Amino acid sequence: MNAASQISLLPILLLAFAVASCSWTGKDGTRHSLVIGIGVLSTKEQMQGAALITKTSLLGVALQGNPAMRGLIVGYSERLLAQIPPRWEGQLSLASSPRKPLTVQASACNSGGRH
Amino acid sequence: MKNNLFTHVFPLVAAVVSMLFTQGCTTNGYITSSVATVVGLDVSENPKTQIPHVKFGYARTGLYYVPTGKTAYGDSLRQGVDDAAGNRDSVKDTPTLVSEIFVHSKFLGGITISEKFAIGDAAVKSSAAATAFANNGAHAVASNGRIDTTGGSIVGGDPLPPSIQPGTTSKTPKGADSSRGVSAEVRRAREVLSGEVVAMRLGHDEERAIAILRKHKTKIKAGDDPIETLADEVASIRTKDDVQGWKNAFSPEKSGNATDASTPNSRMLRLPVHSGPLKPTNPPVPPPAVSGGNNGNTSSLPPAIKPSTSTDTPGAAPKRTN
Repeated sequence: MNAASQISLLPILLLAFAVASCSWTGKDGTRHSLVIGIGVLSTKEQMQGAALITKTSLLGVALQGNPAMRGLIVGYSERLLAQIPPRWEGQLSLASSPRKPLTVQASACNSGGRH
Repeated sequence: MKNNLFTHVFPLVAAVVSMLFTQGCTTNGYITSSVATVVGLDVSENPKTQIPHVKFGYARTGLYYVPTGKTAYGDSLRQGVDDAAGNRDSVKDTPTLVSEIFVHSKFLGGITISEKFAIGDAAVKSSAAATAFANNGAHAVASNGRIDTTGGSIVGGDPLPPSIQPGTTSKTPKGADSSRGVSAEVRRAREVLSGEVVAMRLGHDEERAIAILRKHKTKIKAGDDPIETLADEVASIRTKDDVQGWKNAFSPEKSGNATDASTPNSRMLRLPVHSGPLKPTNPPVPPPAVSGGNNGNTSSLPPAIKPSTSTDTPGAAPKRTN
């Protein structure tokens, strides 16, 4: 098998891995997605001005476009990202521990300005 | 085939990668906190400097971003424009913020992360925030407890040493390791009193600390900070008699001189807030929080400290830099 043939197998293997993926929603309403191979995960904020908490666990090769981390990762990666929008006021607590669901508690004082 | 690969696929991949690196920060105006752990190869840009880097091995990265002068109006994020009231974005738009980040990791055992935020004047000054920050949810998480949604109190798990509080200094209180052999009732009482001390620290209420120490007949050494002295004393409480004595000292005077967290005039959690570009006359910044016990790290990051903080310390939590 020459080098050109080996290279041509790469897209086929990637395609084979890409077909396996699934998503499910936990009891606490958290949406989980498992992607093996190539995957695109998109999350939409539930409401305007809501805080967004994202927990990510990756194993393999990942290209990330998140503002907090843009680049390529090969290996294992675990990330907890909290983004609180401007003009949101209140208290927010989040906790992440191994083998436990992500816990997020928020109580907004108001949605007014932050001045 | 080989030519197609090099002429079509590789340029496409290169274009995608370059897009990832060249797009701007899409979340301007967002308070952002990120704790990431990578085992392997990491080719990415530094979120603080936008400079690409390559890392190999085990790396823990913490990013804490508090924006200044960037505010969202309506559906879009804009910068340097007037809102409906004619106010122009500026540094004074920095949010009033108190937060605590706790990271506890065990090799091959996973990572426990707890974060708390109080944002806005009303939230920061509320007694609920004082209670939430006085209680140590991080340790509850670390010991598989859970956070009570009603008042921020901890259900399950042992409380953290009182040294792990927002605004605590790096020195370890003499009672920081005194949780062993102390009853749960005493520990709860100690937590409540520690919360009041935290409020004094954040509000720079030295007068009340002095009054309490005098009422308890505790001497203050010359040059010592009365609030830190009080924190040490509270941390060393071990018996019910101690609790009762300090409760009496903390109780408000009938004359009404003592502050009450629930009153509008309370100085509870009065924090330094940016009110324009940095000047030498800025209000004092509370001392940084440094980790206490339990192999964990705690950071408190008032807004006047730094709008953007990034650490790349393996095995450590985000730390404050000035």
